Amino acid sequence: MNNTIDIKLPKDNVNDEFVRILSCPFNDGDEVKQNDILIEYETSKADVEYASENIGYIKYLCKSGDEIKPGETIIRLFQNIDDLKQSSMKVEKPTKINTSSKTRFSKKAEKLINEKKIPYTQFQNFSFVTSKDISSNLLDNNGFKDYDKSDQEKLNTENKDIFTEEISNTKKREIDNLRGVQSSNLTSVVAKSIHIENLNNWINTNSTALPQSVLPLIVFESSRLLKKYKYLNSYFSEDKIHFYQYVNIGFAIDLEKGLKSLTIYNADKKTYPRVETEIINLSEKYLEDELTKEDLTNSTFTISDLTSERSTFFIPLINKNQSAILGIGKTENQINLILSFDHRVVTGKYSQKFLNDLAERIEVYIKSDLKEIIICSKCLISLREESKLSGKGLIRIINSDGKIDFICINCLLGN
Amino acid sequence: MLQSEILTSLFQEAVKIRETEELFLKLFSEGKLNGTIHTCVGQEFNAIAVCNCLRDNDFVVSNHRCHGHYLAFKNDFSGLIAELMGKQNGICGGIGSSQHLFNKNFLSNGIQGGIVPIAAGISFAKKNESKDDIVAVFIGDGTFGSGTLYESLNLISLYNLPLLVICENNFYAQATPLREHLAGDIIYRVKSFAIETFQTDTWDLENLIVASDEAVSFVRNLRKPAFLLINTYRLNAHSKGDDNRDPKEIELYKQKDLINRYKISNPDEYNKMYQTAVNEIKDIASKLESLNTLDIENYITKNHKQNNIEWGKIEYTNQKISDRIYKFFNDYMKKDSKVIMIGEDVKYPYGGAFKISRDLSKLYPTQVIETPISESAITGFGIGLSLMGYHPFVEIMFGDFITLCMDQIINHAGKFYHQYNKQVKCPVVIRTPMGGRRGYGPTHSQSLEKFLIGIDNVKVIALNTLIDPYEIYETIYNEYDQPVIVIENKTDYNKLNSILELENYEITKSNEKYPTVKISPVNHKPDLTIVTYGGSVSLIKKVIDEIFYEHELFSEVFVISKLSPIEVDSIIESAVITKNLITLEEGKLEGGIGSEIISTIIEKVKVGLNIKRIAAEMVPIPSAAELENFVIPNEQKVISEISELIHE
Repeated sequence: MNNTIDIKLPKDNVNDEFVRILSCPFNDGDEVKQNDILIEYETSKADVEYASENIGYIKYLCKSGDEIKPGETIIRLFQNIDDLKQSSMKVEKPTKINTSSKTRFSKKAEKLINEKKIPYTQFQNFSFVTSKDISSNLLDNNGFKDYDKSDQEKLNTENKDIFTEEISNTKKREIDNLRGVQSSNLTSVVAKSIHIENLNNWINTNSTALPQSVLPLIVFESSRLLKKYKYLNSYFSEDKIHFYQYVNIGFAIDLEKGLKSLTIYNADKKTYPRVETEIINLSEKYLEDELTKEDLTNSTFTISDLTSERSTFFIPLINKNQSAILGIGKTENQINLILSFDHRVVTGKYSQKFLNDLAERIEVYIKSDLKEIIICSKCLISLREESKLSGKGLIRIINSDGKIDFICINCLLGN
Repeated sequence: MLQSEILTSLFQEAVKIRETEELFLKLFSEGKLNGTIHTCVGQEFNAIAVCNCLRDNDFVVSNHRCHGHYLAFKNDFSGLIAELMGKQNGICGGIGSSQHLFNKNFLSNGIQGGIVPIAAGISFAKKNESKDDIVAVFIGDGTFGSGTLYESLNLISLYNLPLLVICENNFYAQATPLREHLAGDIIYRVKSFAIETFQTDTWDLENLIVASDEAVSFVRNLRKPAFLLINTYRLNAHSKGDDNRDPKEIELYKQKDLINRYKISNPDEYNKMYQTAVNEIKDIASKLESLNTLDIENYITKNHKQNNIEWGKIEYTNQKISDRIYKFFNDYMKKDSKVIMIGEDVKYPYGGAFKISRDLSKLYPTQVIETPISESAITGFGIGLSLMGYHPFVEIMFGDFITLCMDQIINHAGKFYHQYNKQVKCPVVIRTPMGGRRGYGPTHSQSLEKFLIGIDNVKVIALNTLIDPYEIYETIYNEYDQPVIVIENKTDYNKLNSILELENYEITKSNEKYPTVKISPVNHKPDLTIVTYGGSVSLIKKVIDEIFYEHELFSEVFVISKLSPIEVDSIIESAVITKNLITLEEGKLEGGIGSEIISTIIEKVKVGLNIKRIAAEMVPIPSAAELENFVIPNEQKVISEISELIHE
């Protein structure tokens, strides 16, 4: 058997002891080329597609729904179709002992199968069938396919004005991600507006790079607030609420490379300049296709800023394994904070309180009279006083400690 | 009349022994001795008289008051003094000290009567191997309170062993006088076992010498047991300080004492002897003073840990468990004439209560010893044999009776290796069937293995139907290094060593010496880890199937063979993944095997686990079928308890 290639399940994520097979797109005996996606599996961090590095005739040593340990052989590529046919006659997995081909159904699975009238033969290759296997592999959460496929196909072939485009795997994954919380039909929204006339000034003066963006400030403040509003930093699963013990803010970004959520780890522990820097760095990585799996996963709360698109109001969708998402919209002199939340976890009142708290904090920046705060480092004259004198304002400098500071023209000229 | 040279040398020896005892008392009062001592002052001549008739290949077994016996037999003053001073070059590295001595052919231990069956075992070996060698065991009048002594006298006489039992009757068992602790008469007792008796006392030296010689010669030449009663008196307290005897009585015996009389009748010779003795002893003691105690690393042995566990295929024999055990004995008794089976009703044609020994006594008549109902003595007998290089397998008919062996297991077999500073191994094997489900009632249905775990240096192995018992016994035979208790299961005897018929589960065994069997669901991450052993394997199939069916949960089961010392390396990985750890045993809940397994795992694991011990109710096992089925965990009970854990 020199002409077979054994493909083992990669150890992508060292923490995973088991990985779930999502789909085996080919049939045994099909010919595959390089870059064909041979198998899709789900790790604790993300869904992974395995692209073939070789050509050959494929044979699967596992099936959808199986939970496999990384390192195990999952696919065999034969160079010779006859070798593949011969191998079917031998025991497939020499390391597996005492396996039987009889499928064992759980009580709930049996019930579902009888209710939905699914033929048992569909499971003949499964060793165990649970209710989860039925719901995730064959049907969506409602237990039915929600359209009659044959009708849709008819429509397509009859009407030549309809152009069909297959959705990408990324989109499929996006749908699957959003389906998670929204399918409960128990999400709701609260909103809050903040006037931000003076905020622009503050942002311009304090921010080092991001012009006019209110996102870093909101990331900064909401991450700290989430330590208090724990329920918004959690997720609902199987009648339990799971609280994250850390705050990782995911911010949405949708520039040329598709809609993604980038993670700022432990945002509540980072300084404002650091938050800004990370947003900038992550955005650059996004543009240059250099994002890692860590960048795209593990967020506990998401913020979606559509102020750049001048969206007045929108309802953001909550991501999988989260219980809330904060959208930012904009009207002329105000920003609109929109919080979608999972009603299985919190109420409108709780969510509104969060928004109110957040708004208050932001307003502090507005209300603080910057003119009092900014002073000349030498003569200590405040901006307000200076503006009464010469009105030329203060110059921003880097002082001998390397920090940002201000100096008035007089002191600069040595008067 | 004894010739004067002989007399002089006897007195010299006696004085030296006495002065050694006096040295110990002095060191003790100076705080240089740790512990207590039971001096034989006043009884020295007993030891000298008997031991002068013994030879180098004889064996002496003694009790807590053993200094005189040791010094008279081995003439090793330096070793004994070093031992009591706690030095590493003491006879037992300072570990055993006064009461626990071992030196090649001398053994002493501190449990009254416990040493006698061991002496019997040693003498059985001597009988097989020599025409001349004998064993001498020293007891006291107090020993006649111990049941094990009577069991042993019975055995000694039945098996016609070349063993001399010497009783030093000093009229007191610690603080209780003879008339208050012994009904009837010592000699009549012994005679009733058809053992030849001799009698003498300490104060007529000539008579003492002659009687000792007669007794020893009787045993040596006729190869039959004998009993020598020496009436004597100890001049000092039982140990230190506790002497409530009538001072007038003590004074009387002080005057009767031969050495004291010699002091008066032959003062010059006495003084010379005294000086010589004292100088020698002082010299030894002062040289020893500066020496070290034993390094603790040399005392505590760390258990060798198996690191890389690999799982592999199991070869099933598909034969009955009882057949496989019988086959082991048949094969190995043939190969090795030192494999001995000891038990009650083991002879052909009865062949043992559970028909394990069958016709072994017919095939190997010198290797099967059928015993009276004396669990304690037959265990000690096995221990004695194991000290002499034999492979004894002691069968205790029902596991419930293991309680009668506890002293021999805990205070003898388990201790010898360490307390004698690793000079001996005690590789005796005790096999016993535990378990209920036959309606035998409270005292014939128990699983008492929980009382056998955690004993120093004793291995406990439980057979199960998934691993060939032949393999287990072979490993035990080859290891030959420690006492081993093998827990067999009554209801498993007639079951086959065969696979568990389980759909879609993979069953493998570890490469450990005493393998663990792992039952895993194919291609599915397990949700529960279940650890069990022995007869409870019969419940597994239905339990894990039902847990899947009702709750959609996958169970991974570990069937361990070695219960003590417990090794959990093979189980930890699973426990960490599932975070649900369940133990299942037929024994009763509190202080059970499950408690030990769980504590050991939790100590090693960094994550929190949900745990559950499933075991029998804390009541005696009833005989009525429905009640027995409720008290001992049955499938329904196991399933419902696991369901409770899941729902929490």
